[in-house]
Amino acid sequence: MTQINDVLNEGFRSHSDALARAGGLGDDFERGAVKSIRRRRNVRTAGAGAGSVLAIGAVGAAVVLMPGVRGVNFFEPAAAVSTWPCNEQRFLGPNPQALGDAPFAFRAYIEVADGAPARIAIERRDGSGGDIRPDAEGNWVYRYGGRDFTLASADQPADIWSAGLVGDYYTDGTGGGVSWDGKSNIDGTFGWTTRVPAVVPAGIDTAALSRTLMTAIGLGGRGLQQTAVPEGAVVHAVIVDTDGERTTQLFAGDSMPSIDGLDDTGQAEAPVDGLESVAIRVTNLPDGQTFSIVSTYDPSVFPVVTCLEPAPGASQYATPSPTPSSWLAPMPGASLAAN
Amino acid sequence: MAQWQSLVDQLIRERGPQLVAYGAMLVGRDGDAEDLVHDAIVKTFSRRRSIGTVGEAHAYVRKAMPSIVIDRTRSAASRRRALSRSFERPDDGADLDAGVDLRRALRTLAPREQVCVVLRYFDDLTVTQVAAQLGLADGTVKRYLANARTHLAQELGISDNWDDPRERADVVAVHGGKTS
Repeated sequence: MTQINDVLNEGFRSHSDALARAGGLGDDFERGAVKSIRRRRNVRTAGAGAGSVLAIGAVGAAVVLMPGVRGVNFFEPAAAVSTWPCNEQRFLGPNPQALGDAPFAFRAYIEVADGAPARIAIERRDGSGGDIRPDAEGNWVYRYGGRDFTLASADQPADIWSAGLVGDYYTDGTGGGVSWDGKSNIDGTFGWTTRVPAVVPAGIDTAALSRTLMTAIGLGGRGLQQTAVPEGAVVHAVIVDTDGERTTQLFAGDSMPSIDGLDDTGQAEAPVDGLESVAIRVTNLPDGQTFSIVSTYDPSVFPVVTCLEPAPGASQYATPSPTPSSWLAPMPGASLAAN
Repeated sequence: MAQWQSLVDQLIRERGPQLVAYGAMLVGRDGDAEDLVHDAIVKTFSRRRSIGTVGEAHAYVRKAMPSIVIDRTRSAASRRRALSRSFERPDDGADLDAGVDLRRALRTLAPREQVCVVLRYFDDLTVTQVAAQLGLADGTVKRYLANARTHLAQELGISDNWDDPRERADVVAVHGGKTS
């Protein structure tokens, strides 16, 4: 009688041959892999180029506006920022102006030490945030919008935590992220401003479309959802630079095409020449309407982090507590209620 | 182009189908398998290590794949990342027909059972080697294999006498270029 070895070998061979005949893994696959590897290698050796401007290491920081830079103040109010102690590490949340209607909940920075999470800092959409504590069992759970987000749990093997993580989480409980060196800020959404039209045709889900747009310019976006547009509508990704317009049709599940020069977080690995905008465009709507959510890019806008004042006292973030999801170091002026 | 980049290029072109087919036995679906291959390639090449040939790269990537699957069973964050990516690609209808019955049958197993079956009966590792690679106890691996045996024999209509005398204790090549 046939043995499992034979079945596995035959199944593997026929599948492998069929995949080869079908063309194997495409250029997009390779591009994506190379991009991810490059980013990880860069993260492991962070500190060069723009990253050095943003790296805040063990000192706290605040965001200020660059003279001459258009008015994008990501952490308001300024008075609250000025009281943030300089020896508390301060992480960047995403630029809210980039998010459009995406149902963003929070960004989590997970620092590791000795193969385990040592600190998890949360940044919410409004710029408020702080550290969370692990519960008595060692699970790091953050409650937001009536939902528990388990950001790290005690039963995870140490090799998962060979590097830190930074992830963006959405109100539906999903999220996405990349490895993180424990120092560099993730600034991918800076420079982007997303505009959602005030008039929205029936059947268009601007939250879902905004989130798909985030797959190009941020962390943790989501592929196109079939239900985001009316039946029969056609969706395109549109990337505009000084060379013109590049259009790619999107189908259910598709993310936005990659943009040359931007890494997995939407962060520029080098100055991105000529990039003007990225959009998600819906056509073939009833009455011939067209609907677009457009993110425009301005490379001159970036966060500047500075240490405002030294402050005494060590962080006590890693102290285990039987109380899950309690804030230890809330941002001044931030509400302690997690929505 | 950096050396690692040209090796990634060569690996994907020459060994991509084999890696995806191997991944599909571990996770069941072509799309998930491509994600798994992606993760394994990124994991392998993100570390600055010396990989000289496509054969070595293939061996490293293939060895990383079962561990990534097991990590996902342990890590909520890892599962979330895989889930998040699964939303970013087309539906599962793209699975190729070739060998699909086997993959469907494997998919009915628990993820850890699935991985143990592939390592034991496709890669011909011993129970001890499977346990060592996955960070599990020998007894746990045996239990997974016993469960899988009963289940798959029925699903695939094959013998359930898998405790064949070919239990081998070969040293598994990790660096060799012969892995196909």
